[in-house]
Amino acid sequence: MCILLFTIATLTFTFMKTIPGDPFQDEKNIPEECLKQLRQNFGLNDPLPIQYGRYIKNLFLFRLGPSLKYPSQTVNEIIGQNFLPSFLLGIEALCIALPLAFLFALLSSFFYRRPIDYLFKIIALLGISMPSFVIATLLQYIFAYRLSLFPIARFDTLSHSILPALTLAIGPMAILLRLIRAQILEVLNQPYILVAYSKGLSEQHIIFFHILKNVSLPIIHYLGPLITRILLGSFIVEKIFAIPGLGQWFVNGVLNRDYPLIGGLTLFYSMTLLFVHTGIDLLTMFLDPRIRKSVPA
Amino acid sequence: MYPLFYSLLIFSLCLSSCQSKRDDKIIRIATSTDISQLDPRKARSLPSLLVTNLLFEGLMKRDKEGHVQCGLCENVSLSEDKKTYRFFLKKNALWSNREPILASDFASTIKSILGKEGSSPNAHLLFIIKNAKSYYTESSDDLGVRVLDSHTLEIELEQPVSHFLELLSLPIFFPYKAPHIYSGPFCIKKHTSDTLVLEKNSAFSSASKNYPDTIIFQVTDENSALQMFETGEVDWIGSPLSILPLDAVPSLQQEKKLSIAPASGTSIMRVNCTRPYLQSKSFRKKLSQSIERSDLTEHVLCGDYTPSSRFVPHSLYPPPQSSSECTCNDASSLSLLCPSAEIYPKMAQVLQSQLKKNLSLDVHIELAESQIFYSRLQKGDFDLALSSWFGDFTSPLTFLEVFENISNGTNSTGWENSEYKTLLAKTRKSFDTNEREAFLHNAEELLLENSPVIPLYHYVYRYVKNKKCSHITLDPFGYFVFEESNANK
Repeated sequence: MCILLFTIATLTFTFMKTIPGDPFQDEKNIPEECLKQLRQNFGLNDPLPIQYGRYIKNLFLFRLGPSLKYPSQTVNEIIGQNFLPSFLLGIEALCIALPLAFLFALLSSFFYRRPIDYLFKIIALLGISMPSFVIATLLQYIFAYRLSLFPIARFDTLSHSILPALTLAIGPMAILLRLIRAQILEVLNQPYILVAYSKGLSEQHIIFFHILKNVSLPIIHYLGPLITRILLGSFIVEKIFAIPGLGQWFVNGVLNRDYPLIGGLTLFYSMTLLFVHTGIDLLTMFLDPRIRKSVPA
Repeated sequence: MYPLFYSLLIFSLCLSSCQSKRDDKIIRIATSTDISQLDPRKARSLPSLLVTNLLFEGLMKRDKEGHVQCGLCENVSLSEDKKTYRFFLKKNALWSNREPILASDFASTIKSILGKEGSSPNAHLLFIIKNAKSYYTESSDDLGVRVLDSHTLEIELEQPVSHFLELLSLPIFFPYKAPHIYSGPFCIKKHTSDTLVLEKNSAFSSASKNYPDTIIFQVTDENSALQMFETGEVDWIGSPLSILPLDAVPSLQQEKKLSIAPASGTSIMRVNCTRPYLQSKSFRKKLSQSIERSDLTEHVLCGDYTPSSRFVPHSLYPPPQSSSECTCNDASSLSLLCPSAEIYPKMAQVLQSQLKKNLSLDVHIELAESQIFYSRLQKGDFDLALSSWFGDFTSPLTFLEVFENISNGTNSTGWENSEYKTLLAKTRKSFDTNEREAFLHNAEELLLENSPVIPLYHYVYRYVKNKKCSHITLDPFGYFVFEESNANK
C-alpha cells in the first residue's frame, strides 16, 4: 500500500511540474522581482529534487502546507472543512441508490419480460445516458422552482440535501440495477433455488438468504470505486446546488496550478480509495466462506 | 404498515425547508467564486478588492462617481517639490477592537508588504515610494515613510506622481493590524468556503445608517442564482460578483428587471507587433476598422455594452477617423487566441466571420484554459489575443500605462514608443488638470494610430436586485455604493 501511494505521489509531482502555466500568473502585472520573491517564499525556486524531497516528506507527515491560491488556509484545513458535506451527501446518495437498485432489480427479475421489467430497463437506460448536470437542472427546475417542494440550492438543512443526493444516486442506481438484475437472473436458474422452492421455503426467505447473498459478492467489488467517487464529491452537482464540498477543490486546484492542493487532494483520494478497497476485500472474505477457506491460516 | 406510515409522515415534516424570517437589513448577494483573499495587502481579483473595501478603509476613499476624497485622514498637505505628502489622521478613527488607528499602523503595514516575508503580489505598486524598491530587494534602510507623531504620517515619493492620492484608495495602501481586526464599515462574522457573512462594525467612525446590518455573500451557480432570486432567497445577482446567464438577459430586459451601471473596463484584442505580417501600422489599423463592433454587442452580448474604438472608457473625445487604403502586403491568415471560458469563444467566432467577410482574412481560433492563456500572452505566443482591461482609478493613465513599456508584463504586444512614454511621464509629473488632459488625449491618439491594441467595446455592470437593495448601486470600479434608503428618509 505504501509503495502504491509513493508511486501515485511521484506521478502526481511529475504531472504537476509538466503541465504549462504558473500559479501566480493572471492578467494584472507582477514584475519579475515580485514573482521571484513569491516563488522563493513558497519554495518554488529550489531545484526540482529538493522540491520533490520536501513534497514527499510533507505528504508522509500529512503536513500538506498552505494553498498557493488561498495562503491563509492549509490544505489540511481545506480538506477538513469541505470533506464532511461531500461525505454526508455521498452517504445519502448511497442510501438511496443501493436499496432502490436492489428493489427494482428484484421486481424486474421476478417479472421478467413483463411490462414492469421493460419499464425498469428504460429507467436504467435513462439513468445511465443522462449526464448529471441535466438530471440536476431538471430536478431543480421541476421540484424546487416550479413545485417549491425543496430549496433550490445550498446545504443548510436536510431538505437542501434531497435533490443533490437524488442527482448523485440516479447514475449509480441505474448501473447497479442492470448489474444486480443480470446476477439475479443467473442465480434464479441455479439448482439450489429450485431446491429451496421445492422445500417450501417462503419467498422472503429465498430472496434474503439465497438470492441476495449470492448476488452481493460481484456487486461489492463494483462498490469500491463507486463509494470513493461518491463520497469525495462531484464537481457538477456541488456547483449547481452550491454544496461546499471537496469536488470543486479538485478541479479548481488544477485550474489554478495550486501544487500543494493538488498533491494533498490526490493523496487523500488515493488513501481513501485504497482504504475502501481493502475494506471491500475483507468484507468479501468475511461473506464468502469459499475465500475464507482458501486463505492459508 | 402503521409504523411505515408514521415514519414517512415524520420524514416529510423534516423535509420542509426552514425559511427564516427575512430581515430588510440583511442583504444576500450571489457570487460565482469563493472570496477567500481578504488581506488588503494581497487582494487582486475584483471580488477580493470589493469585499476588502468593505472591511478596511485607507487614507483616501472613493465617492459614487469614483473620485477620491479623504478617508481616514482629515487633511493632506503637499511639499513644494510635489514629492512629499503629509497626512493628518482623524483622531476618532478606531479599529474594530476599539484601539485608535495610528500613523505607525500605516508605516508598519507598508514595511510588512516590502519585507522579505511579505508574499504580496502587489508589492510593486509601492515602488513609487522613495527607496521602496531597494528596501524590497536589498532590505536597505531609509524608506520614504515617516511617522511624525501618533496621527501624522509623511510619505516621500521617488518622483512627483500627480495621481498619488487616487492610488491611496487602493487596498494595497490600507492599514492592516492583525487578522480579524478591521478599519472599515464591516467586520467578518462568519467565513466558510461557500458563505461570507459581514456585519456592521460598531467602531467605524463614519458609521452610516445607509449601511445594512448584515451582508451575506453566497457562492452559487449562475442558473441556480437566478432561480433563487425569483424565489426571494437571494437579493442581488449578476455584476460585480457573478454573471447573469446570457440566455436569460433578453427576458430580464423585457421585464425591465435589469439594472445597468457604466464600468471602467474595455474589451480588447491585443496584436503581436513582433510578428512579421503584423509589424505594419496601417495593416493593424485596417484590422481595427474592419471589425463591426455593434454586431458583437447586439447579437453576442444582448445589447447594453457600448461598442467603441477608443481604449479609455467614457472618453470625452470622438472616435478616430478612417484612414486611407493600406498598400502593405497583408497576411492571408492569422491565429486568434482567447480564453475558453465565458463569452470569449462566441466573440471569437463572430470576429472570425467579420474578418473573413471584410478582409478575406482566414482567422484560426485557438481556445486556451486561463493559465495557459496568460502564459502564452506573456511569452508572446499569439498573433491576436482577446482579453479585457479594467482600470484601478479614475485617470485614463490606468489604461494607457499598460502599453508604456515592452517589459511591462501586461503589454504583451511587443510595442513601445518613445513619444508615448514621454507623454505619460509628463502626465505623471504635471499637476495642471488641463495640461494632463491634453497629454493623455495625445497619448491615446498615438496609441490608437499605431493600434497595438484594438478596442472592441466598453463594459457595463449588469445586475438584478430586489427592492431591499434599491439604495445600493455600483461605482465605475464595481464597488458597492450605499445611498440613503427610503426607510431611512
